[in-house]
Amino acid sequence: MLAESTIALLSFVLTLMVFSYILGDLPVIGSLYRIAVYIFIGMSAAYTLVVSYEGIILPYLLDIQNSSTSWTYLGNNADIALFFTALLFGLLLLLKPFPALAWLTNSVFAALIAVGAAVAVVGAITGTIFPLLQASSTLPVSLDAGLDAWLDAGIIFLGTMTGLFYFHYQLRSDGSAMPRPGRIRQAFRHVGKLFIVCALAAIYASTMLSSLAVLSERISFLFQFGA
Amino acid sequence: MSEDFNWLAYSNATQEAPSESEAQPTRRPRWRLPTLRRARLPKPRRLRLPGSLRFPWRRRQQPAAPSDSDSALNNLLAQRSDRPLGDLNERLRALRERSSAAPSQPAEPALYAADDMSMLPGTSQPGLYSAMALSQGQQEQVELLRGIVAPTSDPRRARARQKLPPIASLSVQQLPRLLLSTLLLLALCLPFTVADVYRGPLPPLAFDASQEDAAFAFSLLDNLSPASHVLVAFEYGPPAAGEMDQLADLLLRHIMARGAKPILVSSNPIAIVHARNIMGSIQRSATLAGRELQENRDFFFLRYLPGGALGLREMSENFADIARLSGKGEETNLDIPSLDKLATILLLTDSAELLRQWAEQVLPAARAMKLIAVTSYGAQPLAQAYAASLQNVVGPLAGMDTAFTYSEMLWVGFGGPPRVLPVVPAQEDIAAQPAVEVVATELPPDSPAVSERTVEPPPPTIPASALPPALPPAATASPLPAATQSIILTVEVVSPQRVNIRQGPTTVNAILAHGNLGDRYAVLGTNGDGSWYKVLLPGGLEGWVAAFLVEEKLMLEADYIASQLQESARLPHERAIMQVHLPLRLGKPDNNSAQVSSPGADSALPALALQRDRSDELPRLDAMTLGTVAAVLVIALGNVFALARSLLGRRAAAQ
Repeated sequence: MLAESTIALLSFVLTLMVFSYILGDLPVIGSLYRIAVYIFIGMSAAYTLVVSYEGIILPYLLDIQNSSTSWTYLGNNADIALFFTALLFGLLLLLKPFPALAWLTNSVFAALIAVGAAVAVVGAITGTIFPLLQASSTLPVSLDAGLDAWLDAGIIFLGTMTGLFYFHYQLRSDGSAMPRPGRIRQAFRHVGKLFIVCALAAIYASTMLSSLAVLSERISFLFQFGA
Repeated sequence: MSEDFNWLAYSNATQEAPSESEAQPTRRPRWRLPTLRRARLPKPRRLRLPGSLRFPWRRRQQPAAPSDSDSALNNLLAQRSDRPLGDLNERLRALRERSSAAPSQPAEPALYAADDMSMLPGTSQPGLYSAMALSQGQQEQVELLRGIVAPTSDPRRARARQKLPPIASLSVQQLPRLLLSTLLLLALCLPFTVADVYRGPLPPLAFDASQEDAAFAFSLLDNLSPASHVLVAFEYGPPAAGEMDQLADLLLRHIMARGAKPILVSSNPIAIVHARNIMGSIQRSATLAGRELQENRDFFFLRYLPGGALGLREMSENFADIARLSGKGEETNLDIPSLDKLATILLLTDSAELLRQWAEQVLPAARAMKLIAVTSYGAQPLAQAYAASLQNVVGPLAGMDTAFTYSEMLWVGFGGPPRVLPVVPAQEDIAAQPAVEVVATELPPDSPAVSERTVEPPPPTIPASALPPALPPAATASPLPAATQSIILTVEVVSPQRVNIRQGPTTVNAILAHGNLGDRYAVLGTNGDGSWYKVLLPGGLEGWVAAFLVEEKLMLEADYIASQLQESARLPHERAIMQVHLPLRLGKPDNNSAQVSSPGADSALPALALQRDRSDELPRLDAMTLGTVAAVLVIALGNVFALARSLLGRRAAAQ
């Protein structure tokens, strides 16, 4: 185990190496930044490997070795069938390097993608679409609401509708372009564009705040270490 | 088999007759590069098992199949001589020179033999190698591309190509960027070097009505039952650590200080490693307080969940299985059959997409459980809109100001004296508001992490209306502020029926609490026409009550505080805010452990909330403010620079 002071020193040096990027891609300083990035990427990959092995592969292997727990844990026939199906799928994934047998691997991938898509769709329906429908089934404001509430609801409605107008494209069935939209539609699209730009600006500003927060933490660390 | 084998030669050798295009030169007016459409490609042949089993690294050594196609690219290029060589640019000239050079290497004889041997008996099908190889047209395209991208034979040009791109160096053009970056760094560094270089308005000491979700999240965690389990999803990695560690540390300490047990899980392996670092610092705090926190007893790390949405769905469906083993493959001895047996879910993420995935895959299995979302600044805009549309998502909590307020509430809630004196907004439309003087509690000299800036030598005065939020729960012993004999304005419920206290001064706003006949609340203000009172609820929330349902009463502040204490005493283990939000206690602990590990029994646990290092909270807040100002300046100056540059460029072009 490295001493805490050593870890802090390493963190200090690596932070400075990353900060060196502000000086540009200079001959020596630029390589410092690159070295730091390489270290981080390499460490991330190594951590991922270790965590995957330690947290997923190794427990399963131990479970299989331990006959007193594995088969009793697997329980009924359905669980056993599921276990062997997973094992078979894992083995089939190993056939990817052989072109003639790659279709077996591809079928496993297809099953994974299909299951993933199904899970995503079901999750989207139960987790997002239904709640959103429930939320939108009630009026955002009641009739006796104040002006502020009506103004808020109006802005939301206007932004949603004009934003949809901005992303609305039409193409004739024969492939020819539609005629130039009318002035009203153009106006709606411009308003929608304005809303979209405002939304993107808000996201950009939030991202900038995130960066500043991270930067302030690193500067705080540097000063604390220096002190 | 030789690596230098020329497939093009082999392909040409297998052709039976010269093509028509070779015999009759084309007379196109302009020289053009051939396209794939013109080069007729043969149909790919079907692989035949089992003889066609070949390893991938030998595939590139397969010969080309004999083809009927006679549109040899080299011939085409060689025939296009209608354009003088001098008219071509350098690249096209080199291309033509290379294409006119006929392939001269002989084919590998052994390959012919192998191809013949693999030919199926009794058929005229090409041999095995031919069937596996690229077609002639594909070979030609490969040769063409190889010729284009291959290094030239001219040594000088070769050296020029091999020369590394010029290394950037500091120049005058980079000076503005350097200056602006320096300005930004300077602004961020100033609060850490010069004390009180900037003192902006501090965030509130308690969440107000505009931060209802944050107040609700605080109350959720503050009312956790001892030994209940909280699922903590750590879904951010090191890039967001500097921003989110503060809130993560706070929330984890809050959970553990209440005696609950966090179960940490993640779909990001790096995040799990990072979570261990944070838990390590909490463990050190507990050790200093005389209590050892052990993994798989006081907190749990589950294995990481691979597969994104699939992993989350697996956890929601088979939580008992996932919770059986820790991240290190050890038995956790957790006996939680399903997700809905947990107290609540806390999600720490730097991505709105992950919030959506958790809400979609996990929340439906958790039924009516609340998910407290904590996000980074960057994820907040999208997460806010998403969370607002879902009933079971609380938050998102984001930002350093939220962390500061949460930290202060946690600090005071667990017996720490008020560190920074509250600034209460001016009350609206209340004329002749009686002045209230309350002597604040003196800070103990050995209070941890009390910065010089926050210690005010003279006893300051604060309005009494700000005191109730700072009242600690009855379960924790904390010094109470001593009040002078002052009078405050309150309202008393006079309606015989239960009245609603709402989030805003309209009947449309959400109901925060219910008031009964005789209940009294401190008045914070009124709306414009005086039809609604803004009142302070027990626990620190602010709400609005209709004026016709209540009656103004002047009250001695000491009596008011006493009434609030009596209110708290009736609920010994719950915060007063429980009356507002939480009709039921959170968590499903087993009875035995709940009796053994109540907060009062383990005095070391509340110390977790008090032993946080808060020394950098205020400088970081100031740095954020100054940094934001500097960033805006940088953006504005950058635009000015760009504008001036373009104007100068236009003027120069016009001249």
